[in-house]
Amino acid sequence: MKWRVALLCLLGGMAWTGTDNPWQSQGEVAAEGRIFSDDDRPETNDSGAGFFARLDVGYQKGHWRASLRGFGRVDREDPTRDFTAVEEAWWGWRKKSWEAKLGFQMLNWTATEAFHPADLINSRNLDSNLENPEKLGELIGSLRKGFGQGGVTVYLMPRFEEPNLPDGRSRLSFVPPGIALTPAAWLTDPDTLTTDSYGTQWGLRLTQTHGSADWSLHVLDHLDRQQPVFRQIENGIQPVYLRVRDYGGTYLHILGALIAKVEANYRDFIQADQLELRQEDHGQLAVGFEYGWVYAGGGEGTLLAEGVSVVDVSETTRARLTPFQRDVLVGYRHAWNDALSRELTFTFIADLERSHEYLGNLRYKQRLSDVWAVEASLRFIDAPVDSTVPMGLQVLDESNQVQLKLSRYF
Amino acid sequence: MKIMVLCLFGLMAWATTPESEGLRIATLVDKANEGFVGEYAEMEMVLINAHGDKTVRKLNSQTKEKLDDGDMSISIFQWPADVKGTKMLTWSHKTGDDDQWLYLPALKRVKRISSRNKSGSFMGSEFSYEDLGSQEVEEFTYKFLEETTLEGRKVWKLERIPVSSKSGYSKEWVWLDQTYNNPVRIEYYDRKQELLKIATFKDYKAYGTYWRADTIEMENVQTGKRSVITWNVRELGKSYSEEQFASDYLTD
Repeated sequence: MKWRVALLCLLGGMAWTGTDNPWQSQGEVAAEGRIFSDDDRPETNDSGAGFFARLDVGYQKGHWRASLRGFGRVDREDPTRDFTAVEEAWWGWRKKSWEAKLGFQMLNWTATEAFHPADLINSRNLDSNLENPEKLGELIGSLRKGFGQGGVTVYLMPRFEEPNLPDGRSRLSFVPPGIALTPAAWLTDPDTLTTDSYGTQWGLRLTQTHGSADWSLHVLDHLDRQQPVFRQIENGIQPVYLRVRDYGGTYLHILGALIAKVEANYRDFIQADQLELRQEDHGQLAVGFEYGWVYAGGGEGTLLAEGVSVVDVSETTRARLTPFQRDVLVGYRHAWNDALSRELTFTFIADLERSHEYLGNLRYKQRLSDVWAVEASLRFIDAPVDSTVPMGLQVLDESNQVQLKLSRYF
Repeated sequence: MKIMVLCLFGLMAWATTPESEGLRIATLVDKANEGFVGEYAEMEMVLINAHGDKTVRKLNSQTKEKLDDGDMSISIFQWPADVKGTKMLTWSHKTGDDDQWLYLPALKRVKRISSRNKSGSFMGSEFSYEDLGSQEVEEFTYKFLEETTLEGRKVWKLERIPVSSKSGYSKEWVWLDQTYNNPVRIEYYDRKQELLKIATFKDYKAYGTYWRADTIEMENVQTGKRSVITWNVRELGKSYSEEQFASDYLTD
């Protein structure tokens, strides 16, 4: 594991650019640390201190393109966080309105800032940022045809990438400490539970721009990456991912300085009643607004407001499906637009359905020089457990944390 | 007879008001710059604070000319290192707000943004987004002030007022070189009608029949800060397809 991080760093040191050079590279090496408020449990890791590295290499010549991108982390205080991932490793060909790609790809289908019902491709490393977890590359063959002011893309995903769930000792874990998480299994059809990573998954996405509006529609027939069912087996808790068909899309409209956004998705799971594995079909809808203005000194302020709701299931099921089942977010971002590129963001999430569930986040970042930057964040979670089994955000109650990251970019 | 002469002079005065003359010159200059097809450029921007400290920014740009509307352009940031790979895509329009998208490479995310707030600072420099955006004729009202010389060169001096209420300027005075068909000096006045910034266009070079300034210096007279953009590479006549300016393609 650690040698991979070192290799990423070494390759990063070889970065070079040039206008005639078809290769471009960039990357980041960072020292990062995080501290959680003490939960009085000796079996959990309340702090982390380690190194992070990311390398991004791109190739573009004529009609051909390629990308290689990955990251790695080693944590001296919390070895359960040690992780490496390939985000992208693909070859592509593009000519006029056609584009084909083959390899590991990282996609981002979201239009909103905090809640992302439509951003379904790519498994996540869930032992990372709660609002925007790190993504893992997915093996995809894609073919895009442009038309109008957008296009249609067909995706074929022959391999399932298992999400990285936080270890039981992590303060971001979904299972109690002391409970072992076993490797996952997945349900490719109602009667077959397998650990074979290969199988047919496909998707279709349509995008268009019409004046001030951008919209997209998608259909996915794939293995779920977001909402595993947990089952007790001999040596621990096993996450099981069910087959699901997702239908949804995004819509964004610019109204002067105001941006209105909608993301929606309906999840139709294949149930395995005989194996007693079931995930409720449900819909998710997120609506957001963003309003910006400029201050006299050239800085910018942005107000954010978003809401998300899980529909078509009971309140109890909603809480089991996701920590953000009927929540609203308000936030403010201030960018000084100065030479140091200073930026301060504050967000606050409250659950409208379940009383006393709050999450707040304060983040500051700035450049220290042309190659160094620092980022500090503070998160508090107030969601006291009010039953025998914690539900929704209660799983992370009082996992308040402070994070600091010092990055060197190249 | 006298009545006829008076009518004739009256007609002439009506035909060439300062406003109509200003619009005529602005349109003439705009037409003279049409037909470049497309442009590739590599730029370096130096930010200089009031103490003389310097910070460098680098970016590349591709522009596709559209004669029936505003131009399409992509700016790709190269330096500082933390913003390398960030891209801004702009579909300019002669009337109304431009369409803009921002590509954030860390998240592989294409984010559509509002172009309404044009007075914000570009990369922490003294140039605002509206300073660097395409200067379509329809975005201003004009008034011819005088025909004069500036540093030995014959220029038209115009006053132009941004049509958009979101502009950071109440008016601009523009010195248009009669040979370059481009400005050599622009004075920007803030919403309080006070002089805010002065842009000086230098090192004009001929690219075929088109003249382009290789250096633009923007001085903020109220803060003492300056920013200087220099074009290290510029190629006109580049043939780009519209697909290259599709928002879906920003990710690679």
